Amino acid sequence: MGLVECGGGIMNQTSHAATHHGGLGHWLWQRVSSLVLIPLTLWVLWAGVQLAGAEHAEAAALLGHPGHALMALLFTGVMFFHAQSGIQVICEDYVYPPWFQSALIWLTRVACFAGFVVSAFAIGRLALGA
Amino acid sequence: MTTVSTNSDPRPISPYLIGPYYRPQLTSMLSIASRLTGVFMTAVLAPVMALWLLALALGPDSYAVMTGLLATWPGQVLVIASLFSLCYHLMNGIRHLIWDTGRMLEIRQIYTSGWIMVVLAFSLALWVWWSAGAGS
Repeated sequence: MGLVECGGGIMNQTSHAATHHGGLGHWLWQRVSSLVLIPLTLWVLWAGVQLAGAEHAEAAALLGHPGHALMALLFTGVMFFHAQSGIQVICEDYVYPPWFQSALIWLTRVACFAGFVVSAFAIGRLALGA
Repeated sequence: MTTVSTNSDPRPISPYLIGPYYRPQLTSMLSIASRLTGVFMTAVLAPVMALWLLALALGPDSYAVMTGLLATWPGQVLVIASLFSLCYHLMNGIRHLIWDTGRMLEIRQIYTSGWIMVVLAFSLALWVWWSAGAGS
């Protein structure tokens, strides 16, 4: 019961259209994505150092490398998921009325999905050398 | 228990952390900062990162436009704020994951880990900034 309460289970019972699934799954996936993002974020910081002031050919070569392309794909995928999951909790805590809260949560989900699609397209193009 | 008195179906509500009701403390400030950095990164860093990747993939011309924008002073402010947000959110996230295992939950430990986290976050951000400058 403790876990469900921590995961916003009580909040979710107040008929929020965007979040009427259980809070435990959301809580757990937020933690799983956080854990996975620790090494991925360290990779992003490392890549950022490499790419600071890099010429186009240099940057395209780094992210075109299969291993780094995979890391970039994993980072953007998990990061955009984690972002929408965090914004959802903030919306549940602070945004009122419920229709506006649901609208903001869904808008964030669509925007994060679009962000991932754009990122994945770019990474795919770089990895395939197109 | 605080309730909304005008509501026909009164429900308990969270205590207000903003305003004169609650004294600012390291614990609450660090927690709010974690959410603020998360919102900032979702609203600014994540879309800029996606656009940077797109600009890189589309070719040298679009990449030059993107790096040119990031080199302006507002661009540099964005980069520094993003770097600090990322390091802070990472370090406080690790602290939250430790709490989720039921550890380090004594008040003294929470304050100690809070200060350690702040020092580590600043150090990581400065080290990354220095390394990036030294490399370019």
